Amino acid sequence: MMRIAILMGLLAAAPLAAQDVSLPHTLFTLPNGLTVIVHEDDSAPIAAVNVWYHVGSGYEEPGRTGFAHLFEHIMFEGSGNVPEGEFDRLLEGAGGVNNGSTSPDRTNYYEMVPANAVELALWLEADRMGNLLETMTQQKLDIQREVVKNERRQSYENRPYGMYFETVFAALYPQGHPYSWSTIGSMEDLSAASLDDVESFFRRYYSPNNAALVVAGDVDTEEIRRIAARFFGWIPRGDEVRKPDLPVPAIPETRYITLEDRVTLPQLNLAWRAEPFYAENDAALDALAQILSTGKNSRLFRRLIYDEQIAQDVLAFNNSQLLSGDFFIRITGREDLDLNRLETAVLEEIRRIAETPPAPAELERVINGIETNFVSSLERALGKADQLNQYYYYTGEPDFAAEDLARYRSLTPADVQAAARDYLLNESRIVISIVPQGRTELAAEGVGR
Amino acid sequence: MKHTIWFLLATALAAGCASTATVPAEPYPTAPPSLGPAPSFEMADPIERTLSNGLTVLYLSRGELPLVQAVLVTRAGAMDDPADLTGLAAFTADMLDEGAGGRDALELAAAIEQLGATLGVGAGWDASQISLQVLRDELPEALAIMADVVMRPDFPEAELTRVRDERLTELASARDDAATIAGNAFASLVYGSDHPYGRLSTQESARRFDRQTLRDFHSRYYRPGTSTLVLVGAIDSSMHPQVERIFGNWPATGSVTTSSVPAPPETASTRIFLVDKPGAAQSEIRIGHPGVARDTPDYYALQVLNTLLGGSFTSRLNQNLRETHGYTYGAGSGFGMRLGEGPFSASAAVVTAKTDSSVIEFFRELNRIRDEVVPADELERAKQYVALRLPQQMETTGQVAARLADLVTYDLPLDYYGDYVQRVMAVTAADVQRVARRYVRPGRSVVVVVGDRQQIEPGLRALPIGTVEIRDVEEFVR
Repeated sequence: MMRIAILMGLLAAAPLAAQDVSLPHTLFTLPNGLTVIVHEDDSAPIAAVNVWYHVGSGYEEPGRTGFAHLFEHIMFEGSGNVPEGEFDRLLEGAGGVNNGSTSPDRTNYYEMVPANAVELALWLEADRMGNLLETMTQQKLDIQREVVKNERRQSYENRPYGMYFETVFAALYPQGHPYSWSTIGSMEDLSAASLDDVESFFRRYYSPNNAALVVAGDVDTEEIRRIAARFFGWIPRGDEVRKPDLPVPAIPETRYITLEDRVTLPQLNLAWRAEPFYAENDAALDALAQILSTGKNSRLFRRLIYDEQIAQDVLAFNNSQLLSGDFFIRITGREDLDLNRLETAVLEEIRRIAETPPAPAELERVINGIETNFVSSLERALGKADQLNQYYYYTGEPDFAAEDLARYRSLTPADVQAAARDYLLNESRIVISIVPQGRTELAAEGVGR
Repeated sequence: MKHTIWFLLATALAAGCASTATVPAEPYPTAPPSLGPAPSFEMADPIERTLSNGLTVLYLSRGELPLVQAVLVTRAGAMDDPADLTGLAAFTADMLDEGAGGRDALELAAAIEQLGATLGVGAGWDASQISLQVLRDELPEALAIMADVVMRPDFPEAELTRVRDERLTELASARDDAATIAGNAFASLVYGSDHPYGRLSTQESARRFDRQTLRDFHSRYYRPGTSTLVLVGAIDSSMHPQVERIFGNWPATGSVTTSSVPAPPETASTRIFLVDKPGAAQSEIRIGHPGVARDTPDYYALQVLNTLLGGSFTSRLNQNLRETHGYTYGAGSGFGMRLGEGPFSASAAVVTAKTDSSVIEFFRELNRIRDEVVPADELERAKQYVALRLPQQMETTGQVAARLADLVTYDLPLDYYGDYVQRVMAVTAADVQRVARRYVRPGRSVVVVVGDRQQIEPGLRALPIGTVEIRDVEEFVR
């Protein structure tokens, strides 16, 4: 389930580090508008190629939900000079791996190759950016449609609690808002996707001026500059794509929703509106999430799993995006537990932080962990490549590392207290109880308020 | 995500990054650029030291980041679980950081977090590992906590009760997940309850864990003489005196009489086992039989074989079931190589309506890999894929430490990766066919299908593959 993978990735790799942390790079733009960012690192004879197209499910229209992700699949099926299947065969034969992912805001594609194969990876990216439609067929679309439907079955429908995100996004955002559906889309809309949709989506969004290419690893910047000009320079510029600029209304009122699932343990899920990436208070919400649920001493783990022993697992996370963010708490209860009891406890813990700032040591532990994680994330060429693209897309600056670090380091317990008060305690929320079939009496229904 | 990544041990090498320089005036090429020679990749051998109590310490200095990965690996795995105490090795490992060396569980966690470190504990089939990731400056303090966890766990009664209850709850909810049911059923039906690989962790066995059981297991298997401490990253052997101070007082208690894994039972014919999961959107399929131990001389040929059968995106199983037919999000295969003969299995989650068709395609590929010699280009691609990925699989300190820990567990030489590429590249099409015929046996397989019985039973019964037996979920998750 890609959305989860992305959320977790952000948590684990939340950037931070020593004072002088940076991601040195060279940025240049081709005449057709393609942004190219190169980061040299010769610590291993490998290179990562990472392309972000600035389109995701947040650009979709009602009736075509899931199309950005379906399109991602089609991008691997060959292009003008790459017969079907050759994309993967060429890369594997060079000792490379590749994949892609789709979020509401962007779609990324990446290759990890031995350094001698970076030119091959760039050519494969160029050919599908420039020549995808030349060899597009109904059959390619139809097969990937079935694959994606199976991805939906495997990662959502057949997975315990798997329908949560689809349900919560529909409740968090107004009908018709592109954040109101999940990246996988609905079966009905996947069925409706046509070859015409493929063509118009490609022409509208997959232009060089709507993409950024990062090359990181054991490469020479000037050589990448030459290769990029030759491979990508001829691709025509497309119409400008504007990032969505939709209003994100507050959650109008607290709602309780109950889902029955084929599960043994009842699960309580709470969600609040948070902040966009790198906005004010976004870092405080990250820290709040960890103070609530990371480690045995975190507030919710300690109370629900350690002391009262009424929960099996607990997770709080702050999911920031382009237009907005959402703050999630998920707690799986022990068998037969009344979820009202969990909600009452969670709200009490939030109130405690909102009324009394966390101890300095609590915050310090969180910051220390974030710093180690940041250093650790610098070990991977692909991680750095994706980070450069992420910073560039959301802040306009590929190396935002020092600023990113600073926004965590400057946090005070009072900031965390304010985040708990202003975003959770005083705001409406969506409460979703997922209970065993026939056990709706376990669902939370608001007695905790 | 386009695809899930399949489990496969891979590796490789090469040298001199000299891609051809091009000038902007050159036209866009309509053919893939040719590859220069693959870059060379050398991993320094670790420096090995032994403490007077018998603990082996490996030091590998690596990278420029101020980061250290430590792994203590000890020869205590699930294969050593007593027959009536399945899950004991894993439970013992889980309990190590629930109180040790005078700190209780919360104090231990706080001390580690204060250092910005991460401590992990866990047990596999053949070994238990305690791992630590930490910034260099905090290493001595973090290592001392790690030593407490390894050498002086308290196994407090209250924590044991809590963690045991969590385990019981986890086992109770395992029935929710079709993939878990399928994995348990496959292990149980392939190996049977007389073999450690076929014994399932159950609520009944978990209820038997008590403090004395854990203390016995710990004192029997966690010994310096059968353990190795691996240190990778911003470190070198000049730290040895400090390590000696921290781990030197672990009492030497001689070597362990280790268990040995019995030979797996023979499978005479192929049998299909259907486990009902009413309303399931997909069927979870597992096909296989006992495989081969890690010490097989056919290791490299098997890596290549599995890569082209089901260990890569372009593998036959994935291409057939996903890219040609659209039956699944991904299909694959793997050899679970352990000290004993772990399983060979092929697997996928397929759309319910195509369950029988999927089984047919699985068997088509399992037979074809035996019957036909692999074409040269396909073989070459698989070999390159296995060989040339070594540098990216050794990119982080954590990856390198894990590889070294595996070398220790499977008693492989520390310069093992020195000739890895040559050995992979030496595999021939005849080797692949030989190991396919020996280690892939579609005619003597267990087929597990977890899905909606009402919809899939008639199709499975009509298959000319094997008998169909209906089994209850409760047999495999309880």
